[in-house]
Amino acid sequence: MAGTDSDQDRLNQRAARDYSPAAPEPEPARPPGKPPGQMLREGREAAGWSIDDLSAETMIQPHILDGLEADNYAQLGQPVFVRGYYRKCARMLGLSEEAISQAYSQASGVSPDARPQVTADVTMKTSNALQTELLRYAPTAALVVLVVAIIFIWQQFAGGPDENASPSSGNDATAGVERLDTDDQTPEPPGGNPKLSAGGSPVNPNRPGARVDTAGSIAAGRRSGEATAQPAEPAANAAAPPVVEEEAPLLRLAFSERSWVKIRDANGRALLNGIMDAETERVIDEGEPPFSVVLGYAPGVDIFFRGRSVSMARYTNSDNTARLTVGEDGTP
Amino acid sequence: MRGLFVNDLSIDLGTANTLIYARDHGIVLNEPSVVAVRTDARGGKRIEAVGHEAKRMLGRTPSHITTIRPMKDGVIADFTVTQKMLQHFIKKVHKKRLLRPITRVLVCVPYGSTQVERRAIKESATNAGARRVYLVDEPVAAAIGAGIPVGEARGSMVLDIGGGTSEVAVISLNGIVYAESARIGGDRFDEAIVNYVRRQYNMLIGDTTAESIKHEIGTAFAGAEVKEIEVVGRHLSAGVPRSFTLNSNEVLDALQEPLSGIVGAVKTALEATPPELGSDVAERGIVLTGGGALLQNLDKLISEETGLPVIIADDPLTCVARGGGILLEMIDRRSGNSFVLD
Repeated sequence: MAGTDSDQDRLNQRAARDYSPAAPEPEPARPPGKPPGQMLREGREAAGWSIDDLSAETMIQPHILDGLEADNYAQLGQPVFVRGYYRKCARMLGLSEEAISQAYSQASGVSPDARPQVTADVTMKTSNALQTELLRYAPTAALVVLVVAIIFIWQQFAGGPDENASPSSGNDATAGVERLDTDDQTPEPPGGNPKLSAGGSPVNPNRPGARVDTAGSIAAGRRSGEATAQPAEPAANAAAPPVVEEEAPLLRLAFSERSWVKIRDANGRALLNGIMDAETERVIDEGEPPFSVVLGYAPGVDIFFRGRSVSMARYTNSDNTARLTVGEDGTP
Repeated sequence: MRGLFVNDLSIDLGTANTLIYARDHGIVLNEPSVVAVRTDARGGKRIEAVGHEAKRMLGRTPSHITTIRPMKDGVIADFTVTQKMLQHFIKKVHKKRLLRPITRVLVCVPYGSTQVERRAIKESATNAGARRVYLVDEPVAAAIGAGIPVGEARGSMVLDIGGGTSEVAVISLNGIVYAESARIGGDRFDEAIVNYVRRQYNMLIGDTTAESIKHEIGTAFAGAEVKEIEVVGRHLSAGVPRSFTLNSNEVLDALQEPLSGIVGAVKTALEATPPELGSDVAERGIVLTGGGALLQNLDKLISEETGLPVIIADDPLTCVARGGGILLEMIDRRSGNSFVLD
């Protein structure tokens, strides 16, 4: 039901008052004033009513009326009821409802706007709405941070091997692996048979997997100070001897699979950039080493620097991409 | 600081009035749930006015402007217009804000409203700009706003008489033990007055006039004092405006049917209340909230009919909205989630 204009005005005034926190709250008039119980008793006696008469009119039980007259609020329950009882009795007795309500507020210290105690029996962890809202976005924020961290770490690692591969860090065992692999000058045992893989098929020495095994075993031998290679290794090399050309180009790339490739020289000049088809070959005879090489599908590409094969196993990522530096300051 | 980012609003989306309670600010908006829509020559529609301004147009509009009350019987009757109205009200509340805060809205819905009706209200509030929408039953919000200790192991009965519905509920231990929603409210009172005047005086009056009659001399129980009001309406036979005098006893006669519906709902609730809680209600009484509580002597009528004390809550018009605001704070403390509807 819609309120009257006076109700609207009253509400608007209240809203305006509530919405402007700077506005000072009007201080209610303090005593001298009678307690509401006394006002009620005097009013009832003036009307010539007994407690039972008032009870019959208001339907409020006599013991509650006794409590109201004695100002014994503790036994009367929540303020909403006590205030309501006083107002109802006042209306029946022709007293001012506002006056008795105000007297009750003064006597009890409970204002009509006081917040009811509705959760007195519940004690829970405090959490404000802002925290709740922030918590809602916490997983997303954590995911974003994680992705950024992964990208950062990936970039760090992607750049790392190039530095490790430089001669300044040549003492590093992994650098040794690359050097050994491309250097592949180990003596070949005479009459060696091609090395067989676990499946029994001949290992293609141009395949990266085969080179990893080879490099790994030789590297282990070098690191332990053994000058001789394992017997199987020369066999593999015998099957596909390293091609060392006298007039070898600076850089040669053989694509057994379709792959994206990007090559820059020491001056940052792009020498090759694009997707290369399978079974093709690219020769680069210009540019200044070392070359920065980025491969989209490293297992499908063989790189030869000055005719020497470059192993990319160390640089190949799980997604088969590879970033490496090849050249004078680089791996070979 | 918190208020810069989060704005909690409790909305009493009533059939007659919409009230908005803002946390830390109190009632910040109280406007009629009326929207005026203008239709242009090509059939396009746009909002002409909302709230007080639209209500002033009720019954006084030319053919290309229509005044709509998008809520009916406590639920949405026109989804699009309700959404626009809510959007307007929320924007009005935020007008003075530099930063647009995250708006959490709690909307009170009639007890027993269907899932479809609730979903319509929720979507309407979401489309109006609310980031998060909670729905709670109106009687719970009314009880909390009135200051009833709903968490106690004692029964409390609240009767909330709104514009479209009257809700009666018995609450104990933070839950509704029994509730019933009768589709009787202030609108039905107005309608009853219009029908009475037509029947008795052969005069036609508008809803706005009927509402003012109700406010001025409306009563639910015969008192010693009889009030009168001068009313102007259109004589149905002569077709010309005529004035006549209506008194409070006649209005009481007109209101008998809707009033007996409300009393019947209360009696049914008392019958369905478990005896232990019934004795609590008998001792403490029934609390009246809502605009209907302002009808003269309504508490007296219910008190006489039930034999129980009936008290009117302080500021009964705003109880639901205030209760919703308190519930939002309870939800923050994770103690009010039991009241939130799915």
